[in-house]
Amino acid sequence: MSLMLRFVLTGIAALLILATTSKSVIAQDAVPGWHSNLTQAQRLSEESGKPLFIVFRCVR
Amino acid sequence: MNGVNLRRFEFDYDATWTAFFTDAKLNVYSRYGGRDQGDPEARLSKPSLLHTMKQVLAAHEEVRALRAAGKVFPFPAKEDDGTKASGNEPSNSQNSPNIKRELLKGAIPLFQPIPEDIKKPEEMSLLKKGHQGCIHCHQVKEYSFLQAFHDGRFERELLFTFPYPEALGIEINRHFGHRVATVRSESPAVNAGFKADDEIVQIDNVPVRSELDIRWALHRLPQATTKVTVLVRRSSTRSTKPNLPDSPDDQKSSSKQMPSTIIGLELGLPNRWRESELGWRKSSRSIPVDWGFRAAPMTASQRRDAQLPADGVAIRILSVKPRGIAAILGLQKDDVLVAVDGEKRVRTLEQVRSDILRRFSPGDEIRLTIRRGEETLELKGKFPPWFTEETSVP
Repeated sequence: MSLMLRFVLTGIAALLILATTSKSVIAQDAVPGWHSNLTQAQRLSEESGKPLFIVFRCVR
Repeated sequence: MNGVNLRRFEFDYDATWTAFFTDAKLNVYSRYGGRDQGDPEARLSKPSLLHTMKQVLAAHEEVRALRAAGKVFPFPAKEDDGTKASGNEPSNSQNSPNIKRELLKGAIPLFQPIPEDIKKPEEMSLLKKGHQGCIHCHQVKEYSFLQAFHDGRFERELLFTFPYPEALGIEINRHFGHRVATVRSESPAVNAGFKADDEIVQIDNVPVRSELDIRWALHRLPQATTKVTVLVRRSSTRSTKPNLPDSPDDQKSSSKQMPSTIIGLELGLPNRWRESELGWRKSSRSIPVDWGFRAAPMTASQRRDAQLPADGVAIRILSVKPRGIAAILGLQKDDVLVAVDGEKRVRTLEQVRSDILRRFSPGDEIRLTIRRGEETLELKGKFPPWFTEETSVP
């Protein structure tokens, strides 16, 4: 089994959105297999029993 | 994504790419990634990432088994059943005499320690005021500099984060991640007894599964720490080619129980060991220093015209303000900086500023060598107190 499939993949790509605004903005374009909502990814991790692989990608 | 607690996800905010491996409750197994002044991907490799992932999966299975048995984190320490030594008794004769012996008992921790202040997110009022919506990682660090300054708590130690193992004499095998490739002679690592092919598995109470785990474990040590206990797994069979990636056969066999021993080493931390090059860090533009000048490196043709060597510093001062370091030293427009505290090697402007910050602190005497017309002058003056008028980050 591909190693990557054994993780819940979560990308916080390009820009990090902090709790500085009431706006809800998704930071990353949807990429198959990757989740951009950490809370949803945590839920999926709990349900599937898989650990989380969380990526912060910082584009300058 | 809103509401990310950066106390939990503490990482080097000048990095290009950082990953966390966690359970569903965001307890951290390992960190992966990071960079230095060179190629942004030089410290990353597919083999080392795969190695870290495999270790995380093994730890995760252990956590699941413990939770299924009704245990909750923090899990009780296992009895010392020799698992740390892969079936062999820890070789006490090889352990440094002053190591924290309690770290040799029980298994390698499954999770990294939870930061003590995790329930108190850092108050960054300047960020909230000056920034709406999306923010770059390095801007987080820049705001932390500004906030610390305006709160009256900025200190030089905030500049040097996530120290590199090379600072202590350890070159890491990039194909493995936390295995020692070479140990520099006359270094804290060689004094502690590190050897090539040692696999660093724990630093203080932090389990190590990647190079970035090493750097985070070192980063979180209190500033006054002078020594740290490091546990390494040392095989009885040693590779003759430590810097090459393991062959597929090696990788398969490494998953089996190779004869090995867990050794405790006491690593001394010399003065200013955390310091490293700052010039590549985007966040360095927000360090609260009143430089008082604008400058730019001279081109090759400008150097020739000015009869300056091609292999030395040549930073031309473009403008000066009547304050800050420029005023203290008496810098003038068109001065050419040719050495910082005697250091003459070719440097960018950012690297020159880094050199100044690494050599001098507020109150120290700064020494710069400049060319003014036909004259070479030594300028001296006191490094001023930290200062910035900025309250937001561009």
